[in-house]
Amino acid sequence: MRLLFLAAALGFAQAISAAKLTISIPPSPPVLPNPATLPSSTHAVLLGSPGIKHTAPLRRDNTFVFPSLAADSYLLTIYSRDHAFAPYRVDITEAAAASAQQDVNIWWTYRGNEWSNKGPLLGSGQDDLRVEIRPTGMKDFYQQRGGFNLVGFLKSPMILMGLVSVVMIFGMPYLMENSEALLDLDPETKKEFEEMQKSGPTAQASSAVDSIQNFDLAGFLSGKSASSSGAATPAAAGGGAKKR
Amino acid sequence: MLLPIYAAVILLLRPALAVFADEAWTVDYHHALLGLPKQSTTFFHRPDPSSRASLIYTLSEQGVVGAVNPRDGGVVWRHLLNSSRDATQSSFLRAGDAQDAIVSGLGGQVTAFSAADGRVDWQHDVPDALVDLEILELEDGRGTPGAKDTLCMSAGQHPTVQRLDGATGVVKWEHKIESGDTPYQVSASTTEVFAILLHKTVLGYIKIKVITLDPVTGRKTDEYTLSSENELATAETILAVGANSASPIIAWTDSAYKTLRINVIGKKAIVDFPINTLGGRPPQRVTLHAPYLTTSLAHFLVHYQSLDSDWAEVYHIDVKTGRVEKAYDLPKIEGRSSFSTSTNGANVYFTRVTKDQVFTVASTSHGILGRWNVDSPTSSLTDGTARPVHAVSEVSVKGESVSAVRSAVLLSSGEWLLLRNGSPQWTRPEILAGTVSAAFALPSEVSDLVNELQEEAHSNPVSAYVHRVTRHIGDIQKLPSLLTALPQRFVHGFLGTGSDGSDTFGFNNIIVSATSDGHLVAVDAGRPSDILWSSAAVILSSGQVWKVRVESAAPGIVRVIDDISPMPTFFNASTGAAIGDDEVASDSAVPNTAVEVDFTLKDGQLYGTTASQSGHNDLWQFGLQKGETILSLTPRPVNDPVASIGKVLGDRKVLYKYLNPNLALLATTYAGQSRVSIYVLNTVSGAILYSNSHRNIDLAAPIAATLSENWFAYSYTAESTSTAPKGHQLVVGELFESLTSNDRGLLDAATNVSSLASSTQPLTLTQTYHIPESISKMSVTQTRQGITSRQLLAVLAESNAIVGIPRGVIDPRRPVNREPTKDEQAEGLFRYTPVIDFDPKWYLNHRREVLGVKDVITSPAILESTSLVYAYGLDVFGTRLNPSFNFDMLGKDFNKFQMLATVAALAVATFVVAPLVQRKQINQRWQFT
Repeated sequence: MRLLFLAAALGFAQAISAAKLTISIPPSPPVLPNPATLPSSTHAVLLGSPGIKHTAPLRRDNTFVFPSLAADSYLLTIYSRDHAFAPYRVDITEAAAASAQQDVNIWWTYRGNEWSNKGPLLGSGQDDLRVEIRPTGMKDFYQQRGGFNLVGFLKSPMILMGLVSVVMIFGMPYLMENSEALLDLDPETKKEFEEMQKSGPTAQASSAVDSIQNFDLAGFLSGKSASSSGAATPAAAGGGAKKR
Repeated sequence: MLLPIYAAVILLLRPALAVFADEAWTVDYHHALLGLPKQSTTFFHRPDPSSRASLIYTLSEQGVVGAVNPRDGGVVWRHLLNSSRDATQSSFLRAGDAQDAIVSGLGGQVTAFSAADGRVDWQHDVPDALVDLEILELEDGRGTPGAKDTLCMSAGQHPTVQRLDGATGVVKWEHKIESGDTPYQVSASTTEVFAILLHKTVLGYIKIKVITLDPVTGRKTDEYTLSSENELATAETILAVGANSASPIIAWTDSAYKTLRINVIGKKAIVDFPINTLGGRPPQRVTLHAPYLTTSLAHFLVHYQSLDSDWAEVYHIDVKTGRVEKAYDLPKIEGRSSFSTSTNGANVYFTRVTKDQVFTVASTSHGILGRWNVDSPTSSLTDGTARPVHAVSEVSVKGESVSAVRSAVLLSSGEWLLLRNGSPQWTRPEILAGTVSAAFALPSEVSDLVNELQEEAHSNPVSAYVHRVTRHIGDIQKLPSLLTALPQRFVHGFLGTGSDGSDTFGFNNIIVSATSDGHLVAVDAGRPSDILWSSAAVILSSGQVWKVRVESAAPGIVRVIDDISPMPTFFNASTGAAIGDDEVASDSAVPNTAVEVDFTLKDGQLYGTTASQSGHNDLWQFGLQKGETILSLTPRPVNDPVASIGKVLGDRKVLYKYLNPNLALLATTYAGQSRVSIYVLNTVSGAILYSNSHRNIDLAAPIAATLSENWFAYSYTAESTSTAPKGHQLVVGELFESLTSNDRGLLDAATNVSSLASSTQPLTLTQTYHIPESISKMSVTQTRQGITSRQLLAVLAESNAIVGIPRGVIDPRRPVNREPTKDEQAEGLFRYTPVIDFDPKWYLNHRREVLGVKDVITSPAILESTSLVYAYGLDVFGTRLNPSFNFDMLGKDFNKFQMLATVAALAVATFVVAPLVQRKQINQRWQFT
């Protein structure tokens, strides 16, 4: 019995000299609806002054327990396979010289900022502090390939431009033929437009296209081209015009 | 106009440096290992007492506690208890009968785990090194219902026995051993707790002392010393101290294994049995197998091993009188066999695994209840290359007979094999968990073709032509088989269902690993699920660790350099056959220069030496300051091809890299100061090219460093100061000949430069980033020509991951405090941010957890785009990386079906449109407006 008391006293003495920090992971939908699904490799690390590092594994009741922490300023990081957690700052300070109690404070902290740049206070207590920490998000490990998407394909500007030009090519002659009915165009305007089209750059271009299309291969091979190219070209052009 | 498009393309490309979902589980491979299981810490146990499904639990030599599913060999959960791997530490793993808890003990820590999912229940630190750990099976009404208490014994100045509450881990009582005897073991019967101590007599012999403790209060009730005369010289001949059996015993032998002496704990009488050698050689090893349950029969088996055979005896204990008597013998069988104990209710069964058979007998009689042949032609157990080391078994009993037996057998080849009624179910290559060094070796089939082509290139035209014709004739003979395989190959290629086994891209490199226990193991990266070959390269005495380095010597050949043989030994990577020194062609492409400078670390000092006729002359010595010690030395890799000597800037000008093959990065620290200095050295002249010093560094945290091409990286953990934040930092530096574009600085006019003669100093740019966690090891990807951009591979020990950081993210030329200019954007530079968050898409291991990685090695494939990666330590993980995409190979994103569909659609469209066009052309000619 004496021994038992001694052990209890020993335990009590330990509790006085060091603070206890308990971090619990509450259910936090939609990121983590059930913390019991966290893998057992999930752990929390408190990084103190050089050489001081405490590691706490995840317990059955979804908590990390640091049973005895000395006065120091710690960086708290929680590592989990599928979830991301923010870094925190934990400070343990002697409350006052007379009392043997210790203050425990936990703040948000930001990477790449001065250590004094603290975020909002998450919790504070004396000797024993229990705080809840929620994951900030899920880790997404996989890159999805951009598969073939018909709508996306049709939305691309190149395809749109192509489609518009196709509509113009096939739609315009039809539009012109039925313009009286469709657009209520008076015949004079139409005639004017046709004249314009004939003399415009497109007409010349089309005659050039015609000359290529109606290329007289036999004539070319029979030696017409070299000597009488000057004569052949107007003939071809004239033929083209005649055909139209 | 072009520049924004260029920049946009680069920005689009960046997120693609990631693991693709469709490649994630096929390109990479992973062995989630536990390490070599120990006999005393391996058992079958049911995590849920109401269900019949059991798992195999083990605490391995590598300090990993975990559960394996006996159905498929998959790891259910595991924890790396300590990474120090001190071989002298004893470890314990216990499970209470019908409990959802597993209690482990290693070093000075006792941890209780939830048996089903591996969550921690409680942790308890004992004052000193742990000596023994037991579950107290007795029900005294004071324990928390459902959770059985734990007894632990610790050594040190004040050895203690503690009883820990099963639910919370709180110390219930503590008994200090003040007699000055060495604590040996703790044991419990249904009514008492025994502490077994070893008392050293004046003559140097050992006497066994037993202290009886009250299980409720921990007070001493009795104490006696066994009259083990002068036969116990060391504690090694104590065979076993039973625990939790109905009647725990102590058994020991004399050092010559002549007599077996047994004492039932609590009784003072010692029973002697002469050891019967059955006409053969005397035993070399005697082990005792007893059930670990208070409810089972008090029967046990003594297993004798001689040099060439095994036999066993079964003994019964009368619990009331404490009488021990021999029940029956199990016959002698040539070759190694292993015994294991299993229980079913009160009945005890012993299972014997030999190289070709599995037998099960009941403890009550010698009649064989089940006998199965080991039927596997491919197993290393049956072909005689491996023998069973130890086994654990689970029997299922139907009526009087044993209907099935599952045995998890550790083979001497380091494989963990599950035999279900003699047929192998799975094997786990646990030997790889002890890998200390590994190297890639190109398989010789690939290198043969390379050699033949080289022969043609380097001989005179006529003989080259003859050689080529004969080679082609040889190839034609393979044509019929090639043609018959073609349709299948086509189908496979089209559907992407599998490879045809050929390795034209050089992905199937062989990785040869050396393990700390003296084995060489080869794994084929193309078929990573099984071991290619495994052999014991050296014989080590127990406790000795093989200090070894494996490196690639020539295509298909590895060189092994160790501390045992003075000369390196060579092995064929494909077969494992040893090769003579003379057969290895020298692979060193380095020509013999006039002066060869070696640099070595010797007695904590760094020297540069030259070889001459008079021996080694010191050329230079790195002058360490007072109290300065070397942490690590990282030379530039020998095989580190660089495609371009400069960096092309956005305005098409060039910034010249400082490329020196003789670079090394040296990290030093100062005694008593939390300070680290980093030096980049020219290893020929010994000149310091760059140096930096960091204060307030956590030296207990890893300091990783790497060096490649013209850049270096290192990481450390820093304490906060008024200006610097607390946390982990990564520093990246890059060396340039000059920082002015199109200018080579002092080297401009020189055609040949010697490091010894000139003292050109590079200009160094560095940037520091805050990273979310510490990096324990760094490496850089390697490709064949070095055209592909590199990735920094960083091992994250806390996340159990390996990340590949793209080079562009850690480019020291990222503009600081301003937006990048158009030229910089065109180069792919973006604004410096002090924090790099490791994008989960950079994790090479993606959702897997790669535990205990010590090193990462990389090797080029035949394809320029691809680098092969292999990580080892505890787990083994390998993958292929394309840091600049697979630009020279069709990836999985190339949709062959879509391509064929497009071709078909175009063909159809041509056929449909052709008559239309023809009609239109005819109409055009005949139509008059």
